[in-house]
Amino acid sequence: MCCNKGQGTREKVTRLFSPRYKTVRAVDGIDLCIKRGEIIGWLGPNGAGKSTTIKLLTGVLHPDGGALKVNNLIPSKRRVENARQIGVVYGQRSQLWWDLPLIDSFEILKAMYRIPPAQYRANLDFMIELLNMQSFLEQPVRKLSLGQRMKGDIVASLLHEPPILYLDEPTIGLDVVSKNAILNFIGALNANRHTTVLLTTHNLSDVEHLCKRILIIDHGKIILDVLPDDLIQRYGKQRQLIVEFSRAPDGFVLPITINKAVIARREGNKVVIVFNRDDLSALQLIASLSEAALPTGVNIVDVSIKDDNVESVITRIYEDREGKGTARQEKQAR
Amino acid sequence: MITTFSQWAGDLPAGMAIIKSHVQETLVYRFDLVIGLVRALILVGVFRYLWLALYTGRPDVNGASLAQTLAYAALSLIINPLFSNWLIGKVANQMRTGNIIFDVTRPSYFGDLLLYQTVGQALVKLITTSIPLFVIVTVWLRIALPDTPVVWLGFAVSLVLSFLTAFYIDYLASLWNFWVTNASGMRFAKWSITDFLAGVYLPLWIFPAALQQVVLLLPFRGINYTPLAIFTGYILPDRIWPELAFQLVWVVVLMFVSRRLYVAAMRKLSVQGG
Repeated sequence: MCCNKGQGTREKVTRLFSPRYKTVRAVDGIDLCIKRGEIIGWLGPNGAGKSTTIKLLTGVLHPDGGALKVNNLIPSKRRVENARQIGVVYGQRSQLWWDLPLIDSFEILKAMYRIPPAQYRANLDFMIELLNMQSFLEQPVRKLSLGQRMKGDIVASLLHEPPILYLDEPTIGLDVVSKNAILNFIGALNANRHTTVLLTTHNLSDVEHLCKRILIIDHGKIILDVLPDDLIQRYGKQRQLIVEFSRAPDGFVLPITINKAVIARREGNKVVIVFNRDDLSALQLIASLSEAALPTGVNIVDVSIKDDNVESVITRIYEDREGKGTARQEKQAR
Repeated sequence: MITTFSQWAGDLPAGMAIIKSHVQETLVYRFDLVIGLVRALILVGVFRYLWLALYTGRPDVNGASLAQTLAYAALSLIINPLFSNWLIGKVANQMRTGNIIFDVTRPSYFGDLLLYQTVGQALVKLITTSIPLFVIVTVWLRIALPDTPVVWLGFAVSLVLSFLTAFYIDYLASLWNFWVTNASGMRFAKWSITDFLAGVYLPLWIFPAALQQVVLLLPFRGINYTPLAIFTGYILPDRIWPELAFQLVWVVVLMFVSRRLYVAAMRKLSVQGG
């Protein structure tokens, strides 16, 4: 529920005396079971309900209805016990002690989670080695770079060896090297300890490298639940053929045999053709192209094929949803 | 209540770590500590002259001598930095930034975390501010020190209970943040009410009799008034134990209420930002 404060001074004064509330459903009818050792890509446009779901899973928010269990615990009822079995990383926030050296934060968490010294030592050494953190352990957290801080936050959330890890946009704002280090680390963690990972991100290449299952949520509802390969199989049938000719193929007409393909754009000597994998093979297309081009004295110089990947497929799904959303709003406005 | 205490015992290593971390965090700001010391010294001087003027020509007020009131006024400013009075602002800040999410996802209760932090801060203030001020002021103003160990012991125990009373009142007030978006109005209201009812600037013995009767029943007087009334001898040694019992009862009640209120507050929590 949120309070609508009104627009402009006059309305705000009115609302001061008679506040108006409206209920917004952030998460609505999600039915989901996540198995041990899965790495879930928890995707969706901004404001879809991703972070709300994580807050519900940590027990910070109390659901208004429905059932939610993490390892047989109801998080909102037994928050403290639940806290011991989960690790949480928020890319936009830091749980580290701002004024103290990074290593001090780890020591405090060791005491807070009552981690036995030997286990703490082993975990810390393992993670420091893998994330290459020796050089900045003694630095105060406020002096760390974003990438260093994020590594620190990830280690902080894993010292107590939680079987479940929630990562809320862990790669936001990171450079490619830091990002890959973190993704590889999460992959290794999952492989070694079977840690279950729930990852929200807008960086779709993260998902492609790491996730074993992709869930897309929008307006609080799950709209897609697939394996990355299936996603491509089912939605990624679009292919691009980029053909480079010896000179600009002006007035060039696509042969009748390839009426299932569409010229997306022309850039000088290059033509980009979009077609569906099921309707046509790339070989067929190239063969008929060269056949048609030959009589006009134009040769094919180079050819490349671009397949759909997770990123392009999901982009298309988002765009479609957004298109529908705006269409709906416009309809309502009328 | 028993579970609360056993949880504390179990959380002791965690508590020690948080206390230690907070001691370190506070020590980082050296200049802030020096300013606090100077400010307290100035206030001690100002209040001294105020009381000297007010007592002109009167041997005592409601049974308290000038010496007792002067000692009270100086010591009140010296022990005041030990008491929690910053939680509304702290929790408000955590709410605003959304970092409250970390405080409420630790495997400890939020109130306990705040208590440990407050203990850490009080320890720093004790060593860097209160003890040096105490030495300076007692020598400078020649304040009469208690001559019986019972009074010293009573004062020490009372001070610990004062600390807990101040903490739980502050913590209860800080939970207000869970219901509203901006609690700064509450912060100033709480400061004024607590300072007045606890006897930070005015010893409760100068209040009119009718007001005194009400104020002496409230938990606030356990903060500044009780330990200082013991120390200055306004409360006689044989009346110390009932005073400590009064403080203890209020600490237990406040602790219990804050636990309940926290559960209600958590249902109200919304974490701001992404």
